[in-house]
Amino acid sequence: MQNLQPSIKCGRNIWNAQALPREEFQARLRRVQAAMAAKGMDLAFVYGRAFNSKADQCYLTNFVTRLAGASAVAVPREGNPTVFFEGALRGVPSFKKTTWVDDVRAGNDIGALCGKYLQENKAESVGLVGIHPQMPFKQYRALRESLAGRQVSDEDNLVADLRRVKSERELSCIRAAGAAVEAMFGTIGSAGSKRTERVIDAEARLTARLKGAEDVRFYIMRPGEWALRVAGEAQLAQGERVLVYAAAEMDRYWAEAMRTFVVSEKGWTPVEAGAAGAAWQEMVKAAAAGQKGDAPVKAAIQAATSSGMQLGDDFGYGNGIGLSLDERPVIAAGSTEVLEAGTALSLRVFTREQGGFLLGDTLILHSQGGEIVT
Amino acid sequence: MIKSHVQQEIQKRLAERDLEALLVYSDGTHSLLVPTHLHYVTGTRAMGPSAAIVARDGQARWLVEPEWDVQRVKPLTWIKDVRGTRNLCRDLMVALSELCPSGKLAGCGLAPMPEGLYASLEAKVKVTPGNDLVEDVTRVRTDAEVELMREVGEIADVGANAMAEYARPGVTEFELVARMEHAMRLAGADDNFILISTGPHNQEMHEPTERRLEPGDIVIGEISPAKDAQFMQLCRTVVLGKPSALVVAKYEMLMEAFRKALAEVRVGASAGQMSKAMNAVISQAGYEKFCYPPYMRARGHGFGVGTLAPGGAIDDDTTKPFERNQPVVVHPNQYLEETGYLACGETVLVTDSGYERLSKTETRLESVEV
Repeated sequence: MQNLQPSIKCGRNIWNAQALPREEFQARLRRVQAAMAAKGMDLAFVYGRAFNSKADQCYLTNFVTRLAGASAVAVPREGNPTVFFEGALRGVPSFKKTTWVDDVRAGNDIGALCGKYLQENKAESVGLVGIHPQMPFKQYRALRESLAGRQVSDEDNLVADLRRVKSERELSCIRAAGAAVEAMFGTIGSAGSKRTERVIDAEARLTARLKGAEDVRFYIMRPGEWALRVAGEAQLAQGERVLVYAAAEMDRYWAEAMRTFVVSEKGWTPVEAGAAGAAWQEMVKAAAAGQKGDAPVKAAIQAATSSGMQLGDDFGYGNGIGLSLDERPVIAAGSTEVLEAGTALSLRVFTREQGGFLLGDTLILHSQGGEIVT
Repeated sequence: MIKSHVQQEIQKRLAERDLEALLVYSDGTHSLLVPTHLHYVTGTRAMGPSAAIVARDGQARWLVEPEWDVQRVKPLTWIKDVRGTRNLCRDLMVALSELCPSGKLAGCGLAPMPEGLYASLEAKVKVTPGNDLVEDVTRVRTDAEVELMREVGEIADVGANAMAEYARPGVTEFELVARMEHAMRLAGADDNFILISTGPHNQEMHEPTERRLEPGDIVIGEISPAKDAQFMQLCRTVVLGKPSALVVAKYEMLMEAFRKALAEVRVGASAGQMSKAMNAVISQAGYEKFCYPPYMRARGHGFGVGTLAPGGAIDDDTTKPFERNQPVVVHPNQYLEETGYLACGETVLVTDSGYERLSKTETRLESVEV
């Protein structure tokens, strides 16, 4: 689910070659190159900005830009890729430790770095991935000039299509992220009733960070606000309800979950799910390989309606999750996208009724059913 | 933070420039080194791509993504007309038709705007560069803004103390940073920019790795908490064990550069002079080539929500003068062949007679017993 980005990831930043060895990336590269060949593409530039849009280039390289800047990867139809990042040359040695790619180049302007790369490459047909929708217009225009005389196409789904179904290694990373999210909720559950939102937030983040989470998101909402926001200074009174969103990223892969608590003497206690919980159960059952992306939504709404409850679509009903917090497949009313085994989904139900309730989890779809990892 | 004077000041400047409206854009990213104009103007940060229009006649509209984020930002902004959008380009063009029919528009924060959106904008209106319009408004710092700087300065102290407390042999870099982040969040930070490096000879600061600290390590960190998008920075060096005479001597040289540079900080003085004073000391010590690119980028920079004045990278060529109530980091962080990278510096508030320290912890070479 889309949410606020930090100014830096701040957590453990490594290439975990045990979890994601070189051959994993080389296999991905071969798949992308095969897709390029099928489309007659000699070269692709895959672009991402900041932390919420890094998925495509990270899929190929494990590389994530340090600050909230941009990075890109040049993928020739044959041979190894080259990484470009916005930043100083002195950052190259430490960045190289986070990617299997040998050729890492720094500069202030990704468009210009791509343009310079084109001088070394005789590609006649170039695909642009994420560049038109994301690259700053001045860089984009300079890059298009560099591409003059070549056949250029926008190929924004080239990599996203391939990374929708995850490998076992990727799913293991999502499980690890899910465990970090679970631990965050464990911290919240054991928190004293007199703690402020801010303290709960800090404790939950620390829990995930110590498990090795490289990025953590934590948002909170009280009934009536109906918007997930940064934790504030307030202390919750006993009997008050609080709706919480938590996400953690491990080795570049995300998991997220949502819970509803009530503040009691013992601390923050999970609220009985009731009718919304029943809707959630139906939603998870409907999220099966072979179903369409609107099936979980229909199932949740139908179950809630039969209990006399109206669900809200304020935060959507779900989305794919992985290298990005919000990716394919689309889980929404009208989505005809077919769900496949090996995809990871974030599903959620929300209602403003009965005091407000938010429940969500990350699950992995298998051919024989779903596996909840948070 | 809602700044009550912002709308009027923008309207005044639009009138002076004979422009009908100001468009402020954000791509939803947040950076220590880029002013967040949209945050400054609206009072809070955007989640996704977002645009606000402030018209000379008093109308204002803010378009946010995702749609549900309207509920979050409404209590945090002075703009009454906040609308969620699923198609920013389409809705922005409609807003411009309604709020800026003449097409005489100032554009601020447009640099990260993608081609599709900018091309539509360009086809519809004449965009006059407007970053300076907003940055001119930021020159007046309210008491609340200055108080926030002091508060974040105190949070940075908490981070520095946590670094000294938790930097011990056996701790991993990421555990150390986790403890620092935790301490600063408890103290009120809502974002933390922390870079670190550990080892006997550091090359540069980076995000934390899995490396475990060892006796004799030099631990360096840029500790930059933020609250409401206002960053502060402390640059700290902690040695695990007794520092060598060489490290002590080299750090004292950097401290001398730091003191000389601080002596140049006051309202009206050239920011470049601060850099020159710093570089003079380090150059005289025999490290002139390491004072300039590609080894060194900047000797300091401003901090602010809507501006980084007097510069996002203060070096010898910076011509802008320091102005009252600017928070400026002064850091002779330096790579030295004999010791590796050492971190030294802090953020000060520019005053008429000099500067006010925003942190209480001393900038000095720290060491811990191991």
